Amino acid sequence: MKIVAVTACVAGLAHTYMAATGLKKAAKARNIEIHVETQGSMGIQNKIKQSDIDTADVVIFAVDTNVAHRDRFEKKPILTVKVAEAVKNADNVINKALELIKK
Amino acid sequence: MSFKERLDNLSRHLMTGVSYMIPVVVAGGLMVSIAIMIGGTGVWEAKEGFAATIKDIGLYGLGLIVPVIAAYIAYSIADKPGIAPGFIVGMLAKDMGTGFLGGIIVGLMVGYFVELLKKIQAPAAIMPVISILLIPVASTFVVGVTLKYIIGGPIIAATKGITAWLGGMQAGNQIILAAILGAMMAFDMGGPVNKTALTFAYGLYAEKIYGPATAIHIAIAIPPLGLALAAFLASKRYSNEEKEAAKSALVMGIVGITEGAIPFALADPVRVIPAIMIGSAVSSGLSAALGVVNPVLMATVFATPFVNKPLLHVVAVLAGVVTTAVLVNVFKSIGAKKNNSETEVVA
Repeated sequence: MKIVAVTACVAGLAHTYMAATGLKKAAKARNIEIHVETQGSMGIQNKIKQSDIDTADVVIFAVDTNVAHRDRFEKKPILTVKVAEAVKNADNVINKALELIKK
Repeated sequence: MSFKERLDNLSRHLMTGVSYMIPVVVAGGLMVSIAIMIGGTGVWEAKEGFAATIKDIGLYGLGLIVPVIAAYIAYSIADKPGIAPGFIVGMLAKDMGTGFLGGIIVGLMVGYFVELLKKIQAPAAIMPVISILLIPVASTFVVGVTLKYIIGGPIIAATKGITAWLGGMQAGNQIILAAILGAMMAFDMGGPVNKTALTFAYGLYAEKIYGPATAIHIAIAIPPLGLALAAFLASKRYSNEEKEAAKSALVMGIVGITEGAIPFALADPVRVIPAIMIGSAVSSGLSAALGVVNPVLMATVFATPFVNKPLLHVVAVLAGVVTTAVLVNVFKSIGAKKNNSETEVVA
């Protein structure tokens, strides 16, 4: 199982990075490989490699704004949630993502 | 697509615009503030000299607010092809005086129109013509002309109406508006509701109405400062993680980052969020009641030397910080028994 995720909030100061940390922790706890890209006030950081996107099983967008360069994720199953959801309960967001690809 | 999904999408487009706009406002607004610091308020009339230069640079920044929000809302909807027409028609909106509202409407119109044009199916040989000629030209032409001759008038009237209404607002209503904006700032600590209040205030700031901007800027640091004080006053009620968070909340509060309050709110939202909303509303409302005006775009603490009444500003800040701290500790004492074990911490 492999997940790639993008997090972004409006000001790009705190929520963006807290959501990224939350998702990484939750994925690690389940031994799921995850790559998280943050699109905060500093622009794109930890940019996900296209090869990682191509081999990922599911994409998570935890965002209050739109994802920059979202054409990279075309044809992938994408779960979009508000950034606050990933901050509050990242585990549940991962659950939702897994459910999305089960169908 | 359900109605809620549509609404979420719309909100994402608007917030994308706002997220690109914020650095423009901050850079432009602070340049003007620095100019006033160096040259005094006389700098508004000054045409020459260093302070006037800094002011002019800042005004270029503030003048970009409307085009930037238009361009990046369009970008959010239609991706790259939205940017050029968004900027061009956004400049028209700015010069027509449609204000912030005009920028948002232009962004939405350009975005959805370009998105529509992108759906045109054509033979591969003609596609480049569509992408490089038809889309930018047609969307700029159609939205530009529509703005100038049809919807511009009503938007200008609406902007003038809001401006006049706020300008002529009676003291009591001004206090209520300030308090509501303060509470909104605290509600999600830097999230979309906070940014809605901020956007509203910045839009009016661009029209030289300082009341809402004063209200939101004083509110920025009340949650982190109030919670830091609360943790200091009643350290037994807070986990070790929260005590650590209190230190960083103090620093974040001083520099003006509401997000410093988030760890506390996550651990105990039901008690913390009402307390910080009331505390922030007290500061914002009180500063309006005391007639404090903050002409610079600086948050709570750093704004102090620049407001018209620094002493009363400090009184309003302290009132909000103390209110927050006392309320949150009172709330915590009410449900303390069952709460001790369920503290949850996010890194």
